[in-house]
Amino acid sequence: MVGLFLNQYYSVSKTILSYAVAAFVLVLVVIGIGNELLVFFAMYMPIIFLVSPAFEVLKHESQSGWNKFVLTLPVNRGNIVQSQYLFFLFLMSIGVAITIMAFVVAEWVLGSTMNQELMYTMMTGIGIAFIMGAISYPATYVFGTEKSDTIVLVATLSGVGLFLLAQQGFARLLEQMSIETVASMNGSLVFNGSFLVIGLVLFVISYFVTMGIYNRKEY
Amino acid sequence: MTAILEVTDLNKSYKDSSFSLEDVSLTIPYGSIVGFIGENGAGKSTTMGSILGTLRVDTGSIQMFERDVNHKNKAEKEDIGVVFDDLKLPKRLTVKKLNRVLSHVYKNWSEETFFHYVDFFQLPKDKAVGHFSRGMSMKLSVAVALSHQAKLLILDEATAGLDPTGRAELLEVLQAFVKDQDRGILMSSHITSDIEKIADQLVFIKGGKIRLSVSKQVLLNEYVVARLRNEEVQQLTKTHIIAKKADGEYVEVLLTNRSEVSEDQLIQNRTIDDISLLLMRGDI
Repeated sequence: MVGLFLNQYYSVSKTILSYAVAAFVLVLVVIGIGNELLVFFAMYMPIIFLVSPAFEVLKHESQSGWNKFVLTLPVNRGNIVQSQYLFFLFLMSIGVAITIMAFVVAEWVLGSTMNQELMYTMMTGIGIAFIMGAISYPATYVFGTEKSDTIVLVATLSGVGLFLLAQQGFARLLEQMSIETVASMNGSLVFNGSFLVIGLVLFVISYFVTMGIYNRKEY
Repeated sequence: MTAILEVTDLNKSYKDSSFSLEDVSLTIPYGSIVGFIGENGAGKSTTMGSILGTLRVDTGSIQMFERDVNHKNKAEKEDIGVVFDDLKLPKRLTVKKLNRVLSHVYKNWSEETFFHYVDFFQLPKDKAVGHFSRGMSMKLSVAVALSHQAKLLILDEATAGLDPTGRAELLEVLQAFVKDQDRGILMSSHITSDIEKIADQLVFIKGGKIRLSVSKQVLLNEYVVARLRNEEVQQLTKTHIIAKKADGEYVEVLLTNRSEVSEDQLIQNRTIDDISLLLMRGDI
C-alpha cells in the first residue's frame, strides 16, 4: 500500500507543488482584494485544485501501462483502489491545509481574519471535492482514462450543481420551520456540515462501487 | 518437485473478439526455460495474462508452485517476476524513485540486487524512465523482475528492442537464473534464435491452440523436416506428421520420425525459425 501511494505521489509531485503554490498565492491575492464573494470562492478553490492531480494519476497509470503491471505485484485489487482513494484524501487535506495557511498568513500580513462563516464554507468545498471523487473514480474505470478530463469536468459541475440544489432544498426546509427553530440553530453550520456529510457518504459508496468495477476489469 | 507452473486446458474468450484460447496446456519444469513461440495474435500474451491474473480465465486450471493459483495471494505474487513487451513502469519516475516504490511493495526486494543489474545494464539512475530507449526500458523491466527473489519469470517479448550485446547479456542472466534448478522461466519471443539459444522446452501456439509442445533436444535431434512429393506424403504414417505446407509441387513436412524418409528428402540445417514457420503457416 505504501509503495502504491508513493508511486502516485512521485507521478504528480511536481503538479501538486505547482498547484499548491498557485492556490496559496491566489488565496492571498483574493483576501487582499477583499471582495466577499471572491473570498468565499477562495475557500473552495485550493481544495478542488489540489484533488485534481489524483485523477491525473489515473491517466498516467493507464498511459504508462502501470495499471496492467501493478496487477502482477504482491498487492490485491482492493489495495490498488484503496491507495487511490487514500491519495485523494491526502491531496484534499493538503488543499485544506493550504487554505488555512493562506488565511493565517493573511491575518499576519493583512490583518484579515478567517471567520466562522468562512470555515463553514470550506466544508462545502470539501463536500464538492468528495462528490468529484465519488463520480470521477468509478466513471474513469467504466469509460476509460481517455475521457478522464470530461469526466472530471462533469464531476466538478455535478458537485457544484448538487450544492446549489442542496441550497435550494435547505431554503425550502427553513421556510417550513418555525421562526424560533430557525433562530435557535446555526443554519450555516447545519447546511454546510450536512453537505460535507452527504459528500462523504457518496465518496464511501463510490469506493465500493469502484471496487466492484475494478474487480471485473481485465488488462 | 515436478513443475513450477502447470497450465491445463485453459480456455479464455473475449466478449468483443472472435479470438479465444482453446484448451491451452503447458508445463514449466523446475530449472527449465520454456520458449513460447507464436505469431502476433496467436495467444501468447493472453495465455500469460491468464496466468498472471490480468485477464480472467473461462475454464481450466493453473498450478503455480504446486498449488492452485490464487491471484489474491500476495505471497504467491512475491515469487513471480514479470516483463511485458514494453515498459509498463511509471514513466515519470527515475530508477532511484522506482527502487523506493518497489522496496515498499515487495517484501523480498533487494536494493543491492536491483542496483547491481542497473549498473550491469548501464542504466542511468536519475533520468525519468519515460525517456529511456526501448532497449533500456526492457533492461530496467528485467532488473525489476530479478530483484525480489522471484522463482518464476514470465517474460513476454523481453528481448525485443535489445541490440545483440544487450540480448546476449540478458540471455546470460536468464541462464544463470535457472542454474540452481529451483526456478523456471516462461519466455515468449519473436526472435527464435534467442529461444533456440537458451530454452529447454518449446511450446508453439497458433490461433489460440497449442500446436506443439516438445523439448528442444527432441525437436532438433529427432524431428525432421522433409521435402516430399504429394504422393510420398500419402505414404507416411499420419501420426508422425506434425505439420505440412505446400511448396509448389512439393510439400514440406515436419515429422517426428526420421526413419520415414530418405536422407536426400531431408532439409538439412533447419532452425527453430524454419520449424516455427512450418508450424505457423502449415496445416496438419
